Amino acid sequence: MEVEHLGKKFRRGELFDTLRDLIPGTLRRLRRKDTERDDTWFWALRDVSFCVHRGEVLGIVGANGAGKSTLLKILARILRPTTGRLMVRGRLRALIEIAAGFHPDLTGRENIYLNAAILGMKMSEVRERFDDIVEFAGIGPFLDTPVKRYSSGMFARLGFAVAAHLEPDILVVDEVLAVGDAAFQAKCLGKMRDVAGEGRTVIFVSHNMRAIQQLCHRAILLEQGCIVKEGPPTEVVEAYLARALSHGASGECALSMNPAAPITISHLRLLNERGNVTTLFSRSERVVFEIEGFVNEVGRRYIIALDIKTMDGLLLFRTHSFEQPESYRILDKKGPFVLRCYIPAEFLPAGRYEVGLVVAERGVCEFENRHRVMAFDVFQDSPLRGSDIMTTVGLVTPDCGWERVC
Amino acid sequence: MQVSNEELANKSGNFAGPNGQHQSGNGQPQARQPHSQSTMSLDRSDQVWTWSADEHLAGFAVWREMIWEICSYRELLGQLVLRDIRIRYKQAIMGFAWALLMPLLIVAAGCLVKIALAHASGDNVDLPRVAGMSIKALGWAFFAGSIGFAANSLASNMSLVTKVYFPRELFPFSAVITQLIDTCVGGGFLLILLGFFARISISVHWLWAVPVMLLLIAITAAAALVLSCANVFFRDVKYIVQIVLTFGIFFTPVFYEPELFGPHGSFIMMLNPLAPILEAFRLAIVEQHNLLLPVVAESHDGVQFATWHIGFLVYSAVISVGGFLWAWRYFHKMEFLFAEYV
Repeated sequence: MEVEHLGKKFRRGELFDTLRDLIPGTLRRLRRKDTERDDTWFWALRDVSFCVHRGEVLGIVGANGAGKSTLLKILARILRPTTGRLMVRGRLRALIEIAAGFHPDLTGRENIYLNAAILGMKMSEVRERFDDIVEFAGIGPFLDTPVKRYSSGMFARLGFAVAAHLEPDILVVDEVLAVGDAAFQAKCLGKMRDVAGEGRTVIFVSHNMRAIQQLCHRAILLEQGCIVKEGPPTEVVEAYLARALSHGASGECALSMNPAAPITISHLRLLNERGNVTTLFSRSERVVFEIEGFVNEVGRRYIIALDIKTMDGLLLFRTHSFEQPESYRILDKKGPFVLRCYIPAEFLPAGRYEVGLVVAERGVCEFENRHRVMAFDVFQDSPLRGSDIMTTVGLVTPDCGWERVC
Repeated sequence: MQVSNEELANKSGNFAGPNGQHQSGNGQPQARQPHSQSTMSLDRSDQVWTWSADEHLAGFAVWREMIWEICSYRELLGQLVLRDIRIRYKQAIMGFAWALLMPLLIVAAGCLVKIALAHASGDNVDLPRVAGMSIKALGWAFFAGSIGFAANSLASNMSLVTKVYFPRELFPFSAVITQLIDTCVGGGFLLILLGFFARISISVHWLWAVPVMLLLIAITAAAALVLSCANVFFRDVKYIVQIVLTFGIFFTPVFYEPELFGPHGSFIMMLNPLAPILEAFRLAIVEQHNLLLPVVAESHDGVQFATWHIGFLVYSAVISVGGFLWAWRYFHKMEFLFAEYV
């Protein structure tokens, strides 16, 4: 497949919706007599070009509104591009929605035939694969009940089952995996893996970075209608996350505290293994905290603690400078200091975390307690060991040293 | 869309520019493969297809593509028709009796009108007249029912239109076919009853019904295409259609014959393209009249005029077939805007 200079523009604003509105609208336009203003048009895609070879799995990522769905709809021939063209060799089927065309009053059996026909399967093919579809969906006893009585899970499974048995040369998939529970998503991913393994060409749009990295050979990052990065999935995902999560946040925060206090903290910094200040960390590297401050009064047993919390404010753990037996020594001299502490790698699951800071004197009082000083993000960048279900459950993922003893 | 086996191999950069002008390479069949445009199979793995901003096909090639598309999607058309029929009859208290209702109502209303007219003008109401009116009522029921469903068919299926690709003509076509099946079922029953009671015999002139039926289907499909297309862009079209259909039956000679209006009046009546079609049905089936021969009647002032002339049918045929071709072509052009106008 080859895409050349695709562009698509849409008209912004209110379109005439009824004949009743057409007449005054036309009169208004005649009266104004000005040419179309530039902002009535909105370019969803600009000059998009790329190639997909047979058997390749291409991932498309981007923020919402970047133009991914528009691109897919053009690939699926639902929309016509404004500029450029698309060339395809082979049978192309697009999955933009599961259970397209399902009617609640028809039974499961009737809906299978209808949905299959809508997706482009021939009757002979449907008949051949009918039993496989029913088995995949797991709705055997309910085949002849109207679909409006199905639970939403059965509904999604049936819709996906029909779609999964399409056998096109090129498959275009749009975030259909976003619906459904975890088991369903795992099933979908498994099927996608099979399809990719069979050597079919797949174009996959998703927000699920893990899936993109696991399944795709190449990826494209779309932003505001243009391709901003193209290459191996890891790089593209990193670029996407860097843009998505930066929000202008740096890994450094200057704190203002009372300078006359016995101990003050001036800066809190987040560093990665390479020493760069950042808020984005891979699971395979440690998160380094650097705390810069000043001790005014000597002789007190100071503790500096960092609280790591989830996005919801749940405290995962508190780590403090008094952990080692002799650690009170590290804050026993007057003057400036810089402390570092390390959160081990492969410990925190992917997600966003908040950092709180506490400065206290042991057993006496708390000087400062800042609940949310900074936030940082952890992402998964290497293929997971084990299946997804196993490693994403739980708030922490410590390495517990599993071994066989007999 | 256009297929040529050369495209990917050549990569000669012949693509449509931003203003839709295209370089010459695209529209001509490649010399090496003279049959590349006749096997436009989107489903064969070795075929290449292009999708771009403008249609570079013109003239007959577009028609070939449109017809080929409908043929290859015929199974989907069948499924859509099945779906519509099943929806209408599942969970419906009256089931198939529903199909009988519309023609029955129209026939009953017509009988009332006829009785009223008969009292006024001194004519009598006899079964052949009622039979004639029933035939026309069936024809009108088919037309009105199809248009009524077709007008909203596209707009109500917008979720499909924006998510899956298939030729959108399938929606109005399926509405027409569904109504055809409905009318055949309901009307067939009615006709057998009437035929029995009015003692109408089978004659060779019944063969006229076949081409006339095709014309009726053509004009219905044309109207279905245009109205469903218009309804996507202007959502109040379906309401306008309902109103027009409600009163349209009076402007079409269903309850009466055109000769009621005298020489000029009946001619004007026949300008309604449905009128010659419905009258042709009545004349061929009930009166067993060879449609090639005119029917002459006498008006009040003794002027002889033709209430039926083959020319009327030719006029209808031109409008039906021409209208259908134009409507289909226009619909196909507008198709790609549908998904944007949700």
